[in-house]
Amino acid sequence: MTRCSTALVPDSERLARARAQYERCLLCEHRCAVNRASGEHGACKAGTEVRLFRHRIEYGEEPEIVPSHLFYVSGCDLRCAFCIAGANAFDPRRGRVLDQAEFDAAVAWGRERGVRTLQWVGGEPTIHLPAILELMTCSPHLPPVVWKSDFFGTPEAFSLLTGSVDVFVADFKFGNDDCAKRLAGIGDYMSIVGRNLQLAAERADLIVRHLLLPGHWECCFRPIVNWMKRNLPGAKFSIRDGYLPMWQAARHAELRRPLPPGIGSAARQLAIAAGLNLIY
Amino acid sequence: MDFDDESRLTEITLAADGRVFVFGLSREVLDILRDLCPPEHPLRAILEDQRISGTPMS
Repeated sequence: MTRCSTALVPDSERLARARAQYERCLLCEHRCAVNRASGEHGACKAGTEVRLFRHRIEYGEEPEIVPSHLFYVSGCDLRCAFCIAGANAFDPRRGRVLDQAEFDAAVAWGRERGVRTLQWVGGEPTIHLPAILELMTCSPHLPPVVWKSDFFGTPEAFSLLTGSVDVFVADFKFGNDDCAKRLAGIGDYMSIVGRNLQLAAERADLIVRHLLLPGHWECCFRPIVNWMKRNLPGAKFSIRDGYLPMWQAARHAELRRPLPPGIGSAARQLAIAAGLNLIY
Repeated sequence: MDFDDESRLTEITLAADGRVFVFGLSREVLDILRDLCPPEHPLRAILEDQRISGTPMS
């Protein structure tokens, strides 16, 4: 049986509001307010084109969303030292422009192979939200749409997304502001991401994902578990333990090695003991 | 539809302690891993889910 997204097609007013973001961009909490349509660049250096550097069907994610057809778009608002996508994520000139014909062909290719969901990943799709909304608007009968994000977007961005995605997958990367600043170059992390997690939980299905980082048990993992317990105890929580040192991880001593064996099991035990809704 | 090389790649890292790290888990690689009977809980969950849902091979 073919399943379709239950998300709403954005109306013309919302598309216009989204497109206006390119003229004064407040899509992420860098709040650069630059005119991307006229060639100005903010922190992400993205213009108005969304570029695809990879797409494929992925089985290695939470069972309820796989097989998922992942659309990797280049450009990101964060600079995580351990990013698995590396230069493709950070350089919005990577990949090729994703136009409507290519998007529709890719969606058809995925559907023929029985994908359960269509997933936007990056980089960070939020910085390309206007272009992506337009692509999805012109392509009816999509599979359920998953928006995988660093959750550094603004309330304005989440407002534009509301109703247009079926599942938010949030990368809850850090458990404190200092690690976020040191490893990803962003400030005020906990209050921004915490606010957005609660916004998303009210508006769509939400999966909160955390990639375990070596040496970040007490400063990041345990505070995240505690935050989830306090604020979103019923939300779906997913622990990823496949960390490998990539990109610029070697610049940080604790990130130069894989996780110790057994850390994933220990993390899952802690999350279960805290009463979280662990799904992976 | 053309695909670039990266869309076709699965990257597998085998750690000295026996752990297997897979980036880009395709259906075909999933079938190989099934034969290896992985002990890890998350992968077992995926295998079980796919066995039940009977997702067609790509």
